[in-house]
Amino acid sequence: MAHSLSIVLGYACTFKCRHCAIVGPPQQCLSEPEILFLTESINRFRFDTLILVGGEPTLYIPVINDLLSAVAYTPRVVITTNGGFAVTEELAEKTLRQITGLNEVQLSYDRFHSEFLAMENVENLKKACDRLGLRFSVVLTIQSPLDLALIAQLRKSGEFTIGVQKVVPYGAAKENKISYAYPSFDKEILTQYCPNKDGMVYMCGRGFSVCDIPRRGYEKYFFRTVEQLRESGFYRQITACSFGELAKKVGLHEGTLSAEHSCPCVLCAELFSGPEENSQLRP
Amino acid sequence: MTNKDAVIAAFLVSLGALSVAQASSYVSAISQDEKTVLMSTIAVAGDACGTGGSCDESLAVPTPK
Repeated sequence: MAHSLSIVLGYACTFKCRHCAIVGPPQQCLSEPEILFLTESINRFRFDTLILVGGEPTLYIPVINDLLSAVAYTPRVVITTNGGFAVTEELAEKTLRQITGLNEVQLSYDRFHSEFLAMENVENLKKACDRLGLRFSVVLTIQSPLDLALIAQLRKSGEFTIGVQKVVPYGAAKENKISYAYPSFDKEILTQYCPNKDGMVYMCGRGFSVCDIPRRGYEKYFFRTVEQLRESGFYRQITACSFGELAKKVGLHEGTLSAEHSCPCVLCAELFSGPEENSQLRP
Repeated sequence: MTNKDAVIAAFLVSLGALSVAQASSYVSAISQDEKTVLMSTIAVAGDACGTGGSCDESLAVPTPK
């Protein structure tokens, strides 16, 4: 069973990052029936960790508190934020205090977020987390290996975990033709599994899935309930098979794969959203 | 490959930026200035880690490492 559940609370955001993969109508957020249904599911499956995302989650604090107040156990609660609210240390602390049961703050900071976010906000947020006893970390999304140089800037704000991930070419990134510069096809991907296979996502207005990447035809990989997701062919295959095993099932040969297929999400899209011959992997 | 190149390549692999097979040729192709930037990053990187894949930021760093 999945250890974590990421919940896309809504799609409104205070930033418009060029690389953002999440797309959806900004006016849409979790509805009352969705909150009720979600809390029932959370209480039934008792996910260890709830990761609250958006959009910008601090735009949805009443929704978060409605949701968490109905959770009947104590999960680890994480938000992934753009930190735009942390204009001062006091404002950062005041905002975070409003979220009942919060344990951890993940800040998204990279060359794209830095177009909107001052480094001062990073420091303010880190200090506010320290004061409130919340774990603080940064998610750094890179378009090229040289983007790792931003780690040195972040270190000026203190010691904390910096998780590195690569841009995925979906959502706004796709529209803006932004992707990670893989130098060649990385064969190692064929031995790997979906990086999200141990987690689940609930995307507001769409349902449960393994991730929220808007690959081709992805709507059909969302399910109304956790049970429907778990029973689907998609879930069984993506959680049990390596990408190499899945490629073999659909007759996709290494020679036909290009540098962009080094990205697990691009390869997944190729495997699950391809032509009719990939029907073995359909939901 | 120089020792410096090897250190940079290992760093890039450790953060999941490139695979072992890709890192050596990548490092040999970048400029000395770029190598200097990466070496100074290595010096302060501390608790930085790869997140195990490239997926949406909301799903990154699912557990403390």
